[in-house]
Amino acid sequence: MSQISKNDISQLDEASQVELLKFVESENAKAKLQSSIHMFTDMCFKKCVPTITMGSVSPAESTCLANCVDRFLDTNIFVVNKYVAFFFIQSRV
Amino acid sequence: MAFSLFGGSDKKDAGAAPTSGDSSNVNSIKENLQAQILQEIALTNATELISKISSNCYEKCILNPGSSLSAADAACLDQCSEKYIQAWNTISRRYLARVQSESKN
Repeated sequence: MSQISKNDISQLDEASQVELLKFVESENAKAKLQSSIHMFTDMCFKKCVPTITMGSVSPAESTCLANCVDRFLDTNIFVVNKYVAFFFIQSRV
Repeated sequence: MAFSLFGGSDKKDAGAAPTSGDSSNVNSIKENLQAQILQEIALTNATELISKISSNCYEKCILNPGSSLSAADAACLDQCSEKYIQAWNTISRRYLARVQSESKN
């Protein structure tokens, strides 16, 4: 695939530049989600798959993986709520 | 909503077709740029997955590193990587469902 030169980019009209910016923003948001999924899989695979006995995820492991993600997110929300309240009180004193 | 792991394959190779006229040239530059971005993302994603599979499956399968990779080790690595990809998909579905339901509230 050919490289894009700076000259090419300057040829773009404003509408195309705006469109590209939106494209990058949306791909960036998707990439952030993907990156979280990598982190969760790494974490939950360690917790939920203790030994390798077959080449597919068992129903019990699958439930564990789903619960693992959900409880991690609950933990995250819990901690955020706890400290948002804490900092809010602090900032009013 | 699910993303394909290796990026959008629906984009055709934008740079291939010769173009005439200014607006189609702008379009081809734009599409080329988008295709490059998608390719970069897909590569990053694949690299990340391979790195995670390697570390997790090394941990689980190579308990006593010997002088060569045994048949049993290879069989374990094979099963482990299949399992990891399935786990990735399970977690992806669950997480995206959660993100969608939270954003509705």
